[in-house]
Amino acid sequence: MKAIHSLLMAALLALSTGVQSAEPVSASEAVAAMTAEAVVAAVNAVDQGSQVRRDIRITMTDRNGKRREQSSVSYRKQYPDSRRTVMFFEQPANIRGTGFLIWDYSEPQADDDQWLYLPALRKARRVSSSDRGGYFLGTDFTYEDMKLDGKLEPLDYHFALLGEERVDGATLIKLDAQARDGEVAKELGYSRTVSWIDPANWLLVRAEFYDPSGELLKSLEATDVRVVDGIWTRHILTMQNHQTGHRTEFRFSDVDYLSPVSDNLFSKQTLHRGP
Amino acid sequence: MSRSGRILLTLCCLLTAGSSLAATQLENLRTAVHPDRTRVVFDLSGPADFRLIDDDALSMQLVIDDAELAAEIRQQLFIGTPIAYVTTDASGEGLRLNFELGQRVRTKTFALPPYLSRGDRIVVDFYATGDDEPEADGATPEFLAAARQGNPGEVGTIHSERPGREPKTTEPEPERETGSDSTLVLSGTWEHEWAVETGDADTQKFESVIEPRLDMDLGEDRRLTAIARLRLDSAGELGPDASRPDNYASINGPWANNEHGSIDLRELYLDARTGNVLWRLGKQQVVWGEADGIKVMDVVNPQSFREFILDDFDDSRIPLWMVNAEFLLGDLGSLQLLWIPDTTYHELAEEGTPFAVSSPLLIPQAPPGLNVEQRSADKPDNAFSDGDAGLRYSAFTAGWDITLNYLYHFQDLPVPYQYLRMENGQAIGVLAPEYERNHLVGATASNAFGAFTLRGEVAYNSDTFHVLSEYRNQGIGESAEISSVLGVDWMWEAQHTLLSAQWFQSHLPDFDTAMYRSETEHTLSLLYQRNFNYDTWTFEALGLYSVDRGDRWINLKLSHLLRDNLELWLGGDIFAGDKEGVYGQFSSRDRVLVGLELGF
Repeated sequence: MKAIHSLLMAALLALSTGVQSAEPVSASEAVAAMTAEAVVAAVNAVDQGSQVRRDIRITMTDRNGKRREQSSVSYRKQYPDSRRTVMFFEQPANIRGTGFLIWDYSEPQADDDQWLYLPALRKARRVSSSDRGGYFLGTDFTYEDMKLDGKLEPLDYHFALLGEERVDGATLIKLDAQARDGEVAKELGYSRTVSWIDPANWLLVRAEFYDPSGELLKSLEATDVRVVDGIWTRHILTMQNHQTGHRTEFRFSDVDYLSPVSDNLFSKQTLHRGP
Repeated sequence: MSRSGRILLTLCCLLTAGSSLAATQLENLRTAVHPDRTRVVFDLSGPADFRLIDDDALSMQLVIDDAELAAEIRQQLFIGTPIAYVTTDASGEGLRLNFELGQRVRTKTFALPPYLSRGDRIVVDFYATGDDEPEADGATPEFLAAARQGNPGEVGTIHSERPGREPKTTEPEPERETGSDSTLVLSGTWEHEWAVETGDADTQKFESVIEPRLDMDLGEDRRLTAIARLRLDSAGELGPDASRPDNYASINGPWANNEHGSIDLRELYLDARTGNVLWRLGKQQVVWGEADGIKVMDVVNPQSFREFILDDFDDSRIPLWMVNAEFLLGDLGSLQLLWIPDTTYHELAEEGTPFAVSSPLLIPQAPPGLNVEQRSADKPDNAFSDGDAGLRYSAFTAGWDITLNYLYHFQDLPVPYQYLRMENGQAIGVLAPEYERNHLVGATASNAFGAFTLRGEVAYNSDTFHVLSEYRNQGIGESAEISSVLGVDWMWEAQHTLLSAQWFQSHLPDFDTAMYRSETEHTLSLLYQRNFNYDTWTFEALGLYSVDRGDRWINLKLSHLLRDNLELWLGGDIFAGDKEGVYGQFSSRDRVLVGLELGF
């Protein structure tokens, strides 16, 4: 089933990008014929569901092995003009009740609207969203990393294929992305990324991030990849910062793409009261 | 259809008593692939009898009695699972789901009753198996025995599990279908601070505050929250010493109190939802407005000034018993109605404690040689006629968060009316404070522009009262007040650094030249906050500066998150300027402090 799905997708993408063949092609041949842009399109076409609810356990480990853990529940829902995400922190006790709401607009030029609810203030504060390279709540993931959630942004990078590479028994597509200019590199905090894509499901399963001066900054590993409600889902994301020795792991559980997600969750009122 | 290898499982649902005559709807179907199994969950509108029939090695059927399909089944759900596709048909007995399998499997089936947001569910786990390996581990021996024999009587093995739990399996990370979430959560914080005045090295407080918290999920969008507070202070300098400070209504206030400790019910409220109305009923805090540090709109709850404004507002705000109903209007709009029968007002620092108010802006100054008789404030106490009521409309439009606010309330500070009386031929000044009503009408707005966030508030108070420097009108001048705050937040360095500036102004349209305060007063605030080392260290510097009197307060704080639930800090407060000013009056109260907060 997985192979058929991959073959169909690769063949469709190959056709869509002008690659034609009179003979039937294998999945690997179809993939080999793809351009970087087609790979990016395939990655960005991966179904993430119109809505999802998931528990998130965030583990942060510093260079000395000292660990911090937080747990939260997150909801995301797609709207005609935006994708709305809300996170409610549950543990530890001193951040319990903290909530973060993002309205991410489809319009590329529109800044996201973001609200942060801090229990100590008892009010949802509007927060700036312009700093895409800002680190998300003390983790090794930037706001842009969180927003893309495994997708690739063609407006920010020039992409090129670096061939295939065998990793843990799977043949992955290696994709190079160079920031379009210094301004983008500065804004994102990355001058270049290298991504490893699994053509079996078109998920980004590994990535390296280089800082604006070209030094290796971080690497990402996506593991425990499995299907939930018909959607390929990365359950563990581990981001290692090579310059600070700090590491952040996002572990997703109880992922549910089908149960109804109320529109009211994505409001300041619910941010205040909790889910 | 029936084969020798047929497995017939008839599982009675756990909640059959509630069956209705209407057909049960199969509302939803969910799948999840685990390393050792694939789970398929059938969400039902109510309880139903069902059975799983194993036709042959590569197909099986699930029959749900008296059921029908509410929505089409998406075949995409089965990508990556042992199921090739599923078809349905309505048989005379109910809904039949035909599973065509891509590989040999063994199954485990059980029912789950409604729990939290989930309704009745049937769960089928598919385990991969080979011809020579019909029984891999993962199911209980009892379950497998029942499956082999096809004996419905053996089904009791499954039912022997506690209701709402699935049979034990060896999977490392069970999905939340087990109903194992607790509906009751106990947590809390312990905060300890040691503050020492820099002038004479006296300990101002050596105080522990323990706040246990209980959250209870009552189902159907109802939740109960209770927070208690135990305060223990070995120094006892800050007071209050009264067993029951007189600012509290009879339904509020500490259960026990003296300068070394107090215990009280901090908050107790029920959250509920009926249609588009969110209810919060009970003792609670309601915060209006966008400003930090100085209150323009944040006046719904009174505050304890036992430590002036040095304590966090969340800790110093006094929760009130109230009815809080919020009608949801569209995406981010709402209409909030408040009814507050609790006639509790500000708690001022006791006479003789470090933060007792002495500024003539707030306290009438008796002429030298005049004896003064201080009377208790005439405090409203009728929950109905003396209660407060509020209304807030919130909207989100064109990127702006906007609110329109109205509050009909008693001002939380009593008006210090004065008069003279004669006793034995000698004049005695009498201070007879009274609480006065006020109408507050206001608006707030905020928006983000790039790295900047703009915040603003404006409020009109119909009745405010101010101390006069001469004796007439019982020493009090009355005026409406227009107050406002404009704030800008700027975040940079990957959002590690925040600079926040605010400009407050207060104007009295009916200003009396004998008033101690100025016709228009301005206060500036500046906050610098820097997070570093993955937000485990934070440095904050906050300054408030009264433009008219030049007095000021500076607060410095360095905090470190030592563990997930343990924060330590070192800080200091510096007051300076005109001793008649709001901040300058405490210029001998500069202090340093260390503290910790442990979450549990």
